[in-house]
Amino acid sequence: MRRLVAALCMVLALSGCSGGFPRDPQGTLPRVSDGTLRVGVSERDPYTRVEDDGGVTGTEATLVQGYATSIGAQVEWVRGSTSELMVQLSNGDVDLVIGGLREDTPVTRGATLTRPYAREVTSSGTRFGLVLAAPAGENAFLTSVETYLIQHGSFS
Amino acid sequence: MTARQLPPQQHAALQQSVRLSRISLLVMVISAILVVRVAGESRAVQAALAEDLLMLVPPLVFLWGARQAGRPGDRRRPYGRRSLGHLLLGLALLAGGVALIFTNALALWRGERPSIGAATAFGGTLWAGWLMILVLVVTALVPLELARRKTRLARTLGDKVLTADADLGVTAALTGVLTVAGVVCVGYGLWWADALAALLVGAVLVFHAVRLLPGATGDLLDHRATELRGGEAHPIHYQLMQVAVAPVWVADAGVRVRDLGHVFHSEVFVVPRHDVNPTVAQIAHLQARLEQVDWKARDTVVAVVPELPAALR
Repeated sequence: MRRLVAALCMVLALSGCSGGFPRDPQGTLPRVSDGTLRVGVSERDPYTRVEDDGGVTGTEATLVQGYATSIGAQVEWVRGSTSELMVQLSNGDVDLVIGGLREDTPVTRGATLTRPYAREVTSSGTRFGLVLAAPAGENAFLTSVETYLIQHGSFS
Repeated sequence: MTARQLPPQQHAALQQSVRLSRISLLVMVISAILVVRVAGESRAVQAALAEDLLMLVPPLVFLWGARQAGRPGDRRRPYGRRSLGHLLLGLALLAGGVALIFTNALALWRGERPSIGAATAFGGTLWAGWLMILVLVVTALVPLELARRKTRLARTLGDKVLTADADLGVTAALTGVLTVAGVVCVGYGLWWADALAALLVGAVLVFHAVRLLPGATGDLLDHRATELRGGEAHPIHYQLMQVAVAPVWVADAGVRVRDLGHVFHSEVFVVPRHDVNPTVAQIAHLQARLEQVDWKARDTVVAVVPELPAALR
């Protein structure tokens, strides 16, 4: 028992030292870093607005743009409805989905919601958290995104 | 038999066990709260939570049993009171284990990938998996120490619920290691390790229950008193037998003993030699000597019979 615990501590210590922990089963983070981050956008003012020239603005667009810059990635916008984009996310065709998603949004298997980056209150007084959607189980990517959200979001 | 009538050593052990069981309840509740805070999507950690909740059962059962054992028997309950103790525990473990195996086999089959992201702790941001591992290690080590003490007390008391409780504490430490391994593997990108670890935790619980249940039902129904972890006959059978055949007027003797929780109910059948008609004083003397064999033998009946019951021949 004691040996097992010691061995486990060794593994933990080693994995803590070497980079790349946690790792992505599909390698999303290493792929998008210094590469292209494909972001699914469903239009929802003021979080996301699709301009006439095809560019995307809005608070979440700015947030994602900032994240992409932090990992040296170029953003490629993919427009669609939330449900279409969720399927694309599960299939690995996009890396993130934005569009004023709330923390109680139902997600398909293969997708997961990030931690809330901000909290808002509806006119009827219900509080809800705003989130992004990411591929399920891509934990290095998820951790990287969430770390950015913690540092740059307005969640208190 | 009230708790006050126990021998001093057992009385002290019982009080200590009651205190330990209360501490266990507190520890398990705190541990469950901590685990809930970090569990997130990890199935392995959710399994650890389920186990923490199951581990509330044995101390509750023990405390209840200790209360019950403290009350004297009456007309309706002439053998004194006893509880369903480890039968309940066995069933709870079986149900919990089967549920874990089922849900996690399903998760594996569907290829569900656990998402474990970032967390804030200690004034910084880190992978939430680290927090899980920290909490799991702490919540496994404390029950392990409690289990070590309970095993010792259980031996003094001869208490099966306490033994089962201690054994479960050791099992929990083992499954804690499994769970940590699951989370670490997820960190290495092996997504299936999470549900697999949870499934194995379920399997360990079922194994534990299967080992516990036959003894538990047997004690309640029709088995002779056995040793702490079941199986062999309790040595008190032989000790009573030795004393029973010692008097010169006894030709043959048979013993049957039932486990009533802390104490036993023992029946000693003696066949007198054909030329002797034992007096009440002789029988009472024999009974007094039998009760001195062990503190658990204080409820011993002597029956003088022309021949032994068939089961004891």
